[in-house]
Amino acid sequence: MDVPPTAPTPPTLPASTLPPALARRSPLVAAILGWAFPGLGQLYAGRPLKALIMLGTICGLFYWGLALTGFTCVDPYTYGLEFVAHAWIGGPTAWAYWSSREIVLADPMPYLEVGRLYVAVAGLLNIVAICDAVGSVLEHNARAEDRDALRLQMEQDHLDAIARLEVARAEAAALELDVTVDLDGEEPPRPDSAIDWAAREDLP
Amino acid sequence: MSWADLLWLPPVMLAVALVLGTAGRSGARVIARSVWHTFFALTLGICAVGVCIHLIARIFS
Repeated sequence: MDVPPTAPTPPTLPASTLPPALARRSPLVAAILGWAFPGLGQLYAGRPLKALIMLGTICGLFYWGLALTGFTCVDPYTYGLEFVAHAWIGGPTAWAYWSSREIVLADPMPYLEVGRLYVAVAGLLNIVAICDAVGSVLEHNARAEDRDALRLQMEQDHLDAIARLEVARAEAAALELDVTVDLDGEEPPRPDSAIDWAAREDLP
Repeated sequence: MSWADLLWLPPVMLAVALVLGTAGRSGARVIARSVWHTFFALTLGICAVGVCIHLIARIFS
């Protein structure tokens, strides 16, 4: 059985000469992670400093407010409107609600209003953090696209250079053939004068 | 009403400035500058609103 001849594959660039490719990330996953726990979305997007700031700020304010209310303010039945704000921090709100089910305060907390405000503000601030996580992922994906385009361009440039080299080799071989043919008494053409190199626009 | 009654405000302002200043920026120096600008603007805005309320209360009382 005859094997059809195949064109030789041109040598590709070694991977070490190309910039490393960046993996795409999902904005939806970033939003869900950011909702579940403040800062996780930024961590997923590859921004650890922002993740640390969001985590410390939002969770700190949330826990401080919770402590000021005696861990009783996350209650959708008592503070229904505020729970709309609390719900934007999924994980800590679920933990606070679960762990404060049995708590009954004997005395009213002196800073209850301030604590409620802190927890509600923390929940609303996490909306900003979620949006920032999604934006960070979109920015990362744009960088990944630019990186892929650069890699493609470098590979294409490499292939173009190989193709130009092949053309130059073929022309040189043709010149040598002409020299051989014209050697019957006449003066052979000089390679330098046979090709007008200055007029060749396709050469680098 | 005393200044001590306003002690609840700086932590909220700091938290808001930290989150709003960090969001949409990258780089430690850019974030630090942005957080400071946000905190400064918040302080200025809240003080201006406080002065306005105080003056209005003075005028109409």
